[in-house]
Amino acid sequence: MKRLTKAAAVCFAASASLAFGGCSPSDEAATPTNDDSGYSGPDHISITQSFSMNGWEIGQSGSAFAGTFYSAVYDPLYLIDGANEPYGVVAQDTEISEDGLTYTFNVRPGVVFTDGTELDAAGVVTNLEYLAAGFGTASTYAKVAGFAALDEDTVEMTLSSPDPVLLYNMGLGGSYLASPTALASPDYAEATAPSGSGPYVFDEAASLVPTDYVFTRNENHWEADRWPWSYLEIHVVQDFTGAGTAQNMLTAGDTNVMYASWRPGLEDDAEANGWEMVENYSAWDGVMIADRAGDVIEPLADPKVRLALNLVMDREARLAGATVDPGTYVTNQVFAKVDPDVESYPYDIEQAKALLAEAGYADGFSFDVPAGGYFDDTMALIAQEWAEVGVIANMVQLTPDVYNQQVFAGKWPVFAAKLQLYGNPMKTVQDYFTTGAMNNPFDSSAKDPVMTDLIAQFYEAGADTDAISKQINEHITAESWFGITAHTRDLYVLADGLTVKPVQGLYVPNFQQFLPDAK
Amino acid sequence: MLKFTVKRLVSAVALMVFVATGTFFMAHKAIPDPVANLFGKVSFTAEQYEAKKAQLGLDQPILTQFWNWFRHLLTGDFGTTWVGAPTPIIKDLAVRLPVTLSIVILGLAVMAVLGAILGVLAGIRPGSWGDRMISASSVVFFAVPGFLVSIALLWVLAVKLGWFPVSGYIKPERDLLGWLRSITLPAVSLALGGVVMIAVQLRNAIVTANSSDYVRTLRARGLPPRAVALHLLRSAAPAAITIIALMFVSLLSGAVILESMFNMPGIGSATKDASQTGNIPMILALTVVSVLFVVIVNFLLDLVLGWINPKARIK
Repeated sequence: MKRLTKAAAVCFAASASLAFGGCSPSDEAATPTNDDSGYSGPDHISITQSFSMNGWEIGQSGSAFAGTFYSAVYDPLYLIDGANEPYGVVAQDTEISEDGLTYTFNVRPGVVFTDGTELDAAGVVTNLEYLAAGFGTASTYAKVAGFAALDEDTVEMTLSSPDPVLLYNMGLGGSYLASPTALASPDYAEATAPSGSGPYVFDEAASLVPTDYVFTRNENHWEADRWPWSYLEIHVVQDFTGAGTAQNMLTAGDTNVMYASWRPGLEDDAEANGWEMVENYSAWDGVMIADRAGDVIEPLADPKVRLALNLVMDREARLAGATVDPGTYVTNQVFAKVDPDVESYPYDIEQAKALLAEAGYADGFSFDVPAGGYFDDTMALIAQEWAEVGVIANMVQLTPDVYNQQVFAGKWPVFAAKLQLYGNPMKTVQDYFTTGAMNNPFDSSAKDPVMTDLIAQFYEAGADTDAISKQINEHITAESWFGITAHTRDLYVLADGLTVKPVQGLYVPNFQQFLPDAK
Repeated sequence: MLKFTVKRLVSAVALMVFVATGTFFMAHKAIPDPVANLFGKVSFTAEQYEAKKAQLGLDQPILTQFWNWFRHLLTGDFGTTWVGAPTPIIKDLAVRLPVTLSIVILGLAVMAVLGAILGVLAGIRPGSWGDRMISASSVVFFAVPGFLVSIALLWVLAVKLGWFPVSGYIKPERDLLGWLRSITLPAVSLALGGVVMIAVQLRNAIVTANSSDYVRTLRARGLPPRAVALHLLRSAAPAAITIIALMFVSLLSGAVILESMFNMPGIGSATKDASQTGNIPMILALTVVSVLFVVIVNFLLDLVLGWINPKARIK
């Protein structure tokens, strides 16, 4: 067994190689610290965002939108740093066996939950077993065969087969720890307040769920000195007033952090008010052509048809709109780090028509697509473009919650999407191309011998996945697996005295990513 | 007065039962297949459909569903929500009602006090500079949409001057002053249209009463102006009080937009969400609660009018 330093653990987690770049963890990035001496920033941190919390169950913590809430009240075993690498928070001195099947780590001493329970190895095992069965976290532990407390401080995870992204997934929101006492309660999942050990404590009495959440500083936290803010507020601003209301709050000083979508004039307002704008490319926008084998919509089995659908999507024209974020990066690739050798699809209606005719669909075809909430405009625009070549996408309206449930459950062969970009290419392969992955609802990889072979090579590549990652990227682009139009950015706008280190793959930052501004 | 009160109470309860019954059947008629609605109108198996139907009690005859709902309602049980986690609706209402009632009651208070002051000032000196100003501004406030006034108030008083929070609701138990600041702008926004309405009604009632024979007689008897003014107010008050009661209903409706504008989780925003998602138990609960408040206010109005004017008791 080898003892892993953080860097080594990370390199293993990323299969010793990132697809388009090396593994070079930075100690500074991995363990962000605040210098309390002379702190002159705001007394509290007040975040305005558009996602509310419906519960505090740790088994739901896999959501990319819930990170700020969970990370404030729960301590995780691992988190991801600004260099997209996992680092231990409660887990210390992680060791991974040479065969990659056994993970051992020590439990940080001094972790105490708000109900008074002290964390030990048995408590961690109770949590891990819960997470392994959790709705939003089970996929993280899919290859873990069992957990064991070797002694009071040491935990062992045994895997059925190596999982190079286990620590990455755990750090991406899959390893928050709740009080084992609370977990044992039959009412735990319905609890309206968390029993965590995190740096802040949810103040249920002062909060007004689902719009205003108040957290008080946890003076007993093992790292309490790191947090200079006396309390934390999270304001959830939704609906049609969202963008304007959040910015008004920032202007008036009612909040000091805003998770924003770009709008014209935002940069000018930021400059005039002395706000810092931090950007994070964490998602792609476009359409998922999930039924690539044509199981439900037969024409989609033909790569010519899928390419034709892409050729009529005018990617550059989208950027001409006054309301489109100029930070949008036009591309058709699903990997976060874009390969410059892979060209974006041109806009060519005539070629699209010719391809459809070659495929036997000169008169086009029609099918249903879901629409709802955020995706109404995206889908409407794409449907309009496809109609130019006779492909009719009939929009069926769904409520936003039903939309998400159904598209990932494989009910829709084609759907508009905004999905995560991961800083770790291994995670990209796992989430988009492996059987059972959420973003692979029709399991197209298993039906494509070339892709099956490429994925096998990817997992066997060990430390050198660059070449094989490039091949996967080329294959899915040539075969038009997606209808990606762009990589989009999330913006975090901060008032004076605060800054944040973004993590690719997380739409919203973890609380640990916020720092007093060093300016 | 006791007989009058009992009669009004009985009619209020009858009205509640009538509205609750009507709302139940109308909601089920308006959303004929709530199960399909909840599934999002897409493919689901027959087993899933039937299981959901049974879980929600929709496999029962409509009269049985009504009786089950109504008898629970009598015990204050509104059932559980159909959308999201099946939490008791009463818990949600317990969070949302204080928000809406805070802004509506403060709005009503602002409306009554300001309306009364302006109405009296204009009514006792008709044709004066003040009267003309109030009449002119009433035209402006009637014509300009309330949400536009809200935006202007919000921009100046909250964003620019920072006197009030831009958005959100602060619980009074957390910060009493903060609570008052958080509800002031939405309450004032709600109240502005009503202020001029009450002022104009009161002004006209006072002017009419002022030229009546009994007031002239009072003056001829040598009563001091203050005593005459009290008689005038007593005569003019029913019109203003009736307007205030009617405005309560209007304020509850107006809260739907104001709560969205000020990002407040009251029953207005809940009504919008429940209607969009076909969450029938929530729609019914919100309707019953709203009607309950309207009935209570009207009941109190009847009592006050009966107390002010004994002739109203006979009618």
